Amino acid sequence: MKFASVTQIVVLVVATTITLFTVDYFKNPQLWHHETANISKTENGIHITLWMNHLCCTQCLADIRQALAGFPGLDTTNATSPSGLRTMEQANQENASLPDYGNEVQLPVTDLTKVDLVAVDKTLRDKGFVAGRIELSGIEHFRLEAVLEHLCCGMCDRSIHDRVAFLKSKALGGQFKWLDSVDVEHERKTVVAYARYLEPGKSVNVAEFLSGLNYLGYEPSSLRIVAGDKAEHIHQKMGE
Amino acid sequence: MRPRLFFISMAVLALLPITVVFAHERFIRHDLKYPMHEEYFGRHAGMFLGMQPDMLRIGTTSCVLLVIFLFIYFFRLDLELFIEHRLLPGLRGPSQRALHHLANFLTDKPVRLRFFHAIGEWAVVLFLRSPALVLMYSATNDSLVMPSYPLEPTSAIYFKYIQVILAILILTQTALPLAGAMVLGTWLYLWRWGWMPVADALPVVTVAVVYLTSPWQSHKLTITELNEKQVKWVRIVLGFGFLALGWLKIYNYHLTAGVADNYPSVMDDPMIHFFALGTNPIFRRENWIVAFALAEVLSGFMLMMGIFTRVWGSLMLWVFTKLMIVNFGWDEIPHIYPIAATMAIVFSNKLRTEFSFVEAMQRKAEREGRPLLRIAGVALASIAIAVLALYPLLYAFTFIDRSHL
Repeated sequence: MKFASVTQIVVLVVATTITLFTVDYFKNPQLWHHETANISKTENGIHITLWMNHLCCTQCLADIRQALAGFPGLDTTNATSPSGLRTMEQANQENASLPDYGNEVQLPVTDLTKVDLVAVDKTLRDKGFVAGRIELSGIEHFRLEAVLEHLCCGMCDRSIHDRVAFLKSKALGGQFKWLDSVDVEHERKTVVAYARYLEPGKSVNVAEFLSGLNYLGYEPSSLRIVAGDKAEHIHQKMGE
Repeated sequence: MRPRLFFISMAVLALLPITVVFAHERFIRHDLKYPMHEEYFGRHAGMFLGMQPDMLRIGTTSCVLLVIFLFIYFFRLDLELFIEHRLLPGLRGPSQRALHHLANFLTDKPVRLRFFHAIGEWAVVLFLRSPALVLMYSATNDSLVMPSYPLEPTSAIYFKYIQVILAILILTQTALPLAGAMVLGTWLYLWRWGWMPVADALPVVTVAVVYLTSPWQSHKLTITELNEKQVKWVRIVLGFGFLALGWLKIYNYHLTAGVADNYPSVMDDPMIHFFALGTNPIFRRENWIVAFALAEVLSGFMLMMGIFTRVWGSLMLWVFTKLMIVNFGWDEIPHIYPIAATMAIVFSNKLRTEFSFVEAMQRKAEREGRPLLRIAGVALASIAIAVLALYPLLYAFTFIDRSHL
């Protein structure tokens, strides 16, 4: 029976370690060259991209723009709209079906602290639209703070921990991959969702968190994005 | 009457239903909710050794307990003879055999029972294969080895595939030395995140010892037993892992306190209360951390050195299982692996102690008819071992600046 020699063991161990370090170095440049990643963040800026389940013509776009006009924290004048949209007249004359009647609108964020995603969602719904996805990009570390007016007891707190974990494990379609952990701040009636590192150029659909809370039986009165990582937040809390 | 009372009380102490929490905080919530008395863990001018009196008291309780266990262990054969021939001489038949097997179990001697051997074989199979379950669980949770090490989204897919390949090697028992090298290499890679994750993941290395010492054609074999050297190294590495985790609890006390803040019930533990006996209730959380940590240091040390391995191993099995099923539930599911490793040790009939020289010394003194030297030698050795195992690091930790943590 042949056993592994010391040389073989050393070679294999070193090879494994080097392989893992190599993968890490080339695939996680943001961790090895953190300054570069920060620059790329500031160059592109923070954006919220709304995937409208229905946005077929320029009139739809005009209504959406009107709904969001003057919305705090969002720059609707510099919003990037889908190109090649039909005018209302063209759409009226069009007989063929479209593969997809939805489209996206990208909104630069001017002041993150003022953006309330519940208000954005509600405003669009009041105008007859539904944003199927609310994609956030251009921010490496963030957390979502949802205010839930109904958080009456310890059981409410516990249900959020338990059920969010359940949702995460059941998310076979890849939902909640961005979610690191949740924390319930009972005194502030706030649920904090800590996001994992968001790679430059990538986005996460924060509407998942809204619909997740709805699924758990809660309707948040506001949902705000707060920049910064978890450790920073914990230290701030302890400082209070 | 006196010796009888002494031994009965020792037996009761050993069987106390403890609920110590071992090394679980990696997998569960640990955000600190209330500020701590930071000065507790630092230097205290005018105090003995410059240490906080409660910390010193807990350290002393632990030290005394370790001395008692060491002393009894070094006289375990005499104790067994005393119980079988002096304390309960009238026993005959099945009850005598049962007592004999129990004594063998408690004193780490081979237990010649068919069911014991069968459980031991099954435990080895579980121990060798359970890492695959943990790896697959981590891969599906976007983590590396343990759920507490989340993978970066940018590289997750590569690490997940590597874990799956390793899990396949383990499940099919193919090229186990390669699997061992991969486990060891992954553990070394954790240095990239600092020394604390490395210390935290030390128990993972335990199984690598067995893989590396298995034959290349392992897929053709049915491995159901570990040889004496493998048992020794599994015991040492696993024990050292818990010892290190115990000290880490004091070093990184915010994390330990965070667990208590999220799961306050863990603080209501009879054994931890025993360790913290007579301490100031103002420092309840701080005392709990030190007591909890030293309980783990104690059990890790005894497992590592082979002192009442089965007793401490059984207690750890009870605690791990309780944590996994009762206290924390699904979040603790990776504890299947340490449970399997501990079972493989507890049900092994090849247990030895690293302090056999003390036993040899006392046997020699017995043969030479020098009872005083025999008792004094064992007592001195027990005290020296206990003091060296506990005080130097506890003292050193009071000098450490933890502001960077």
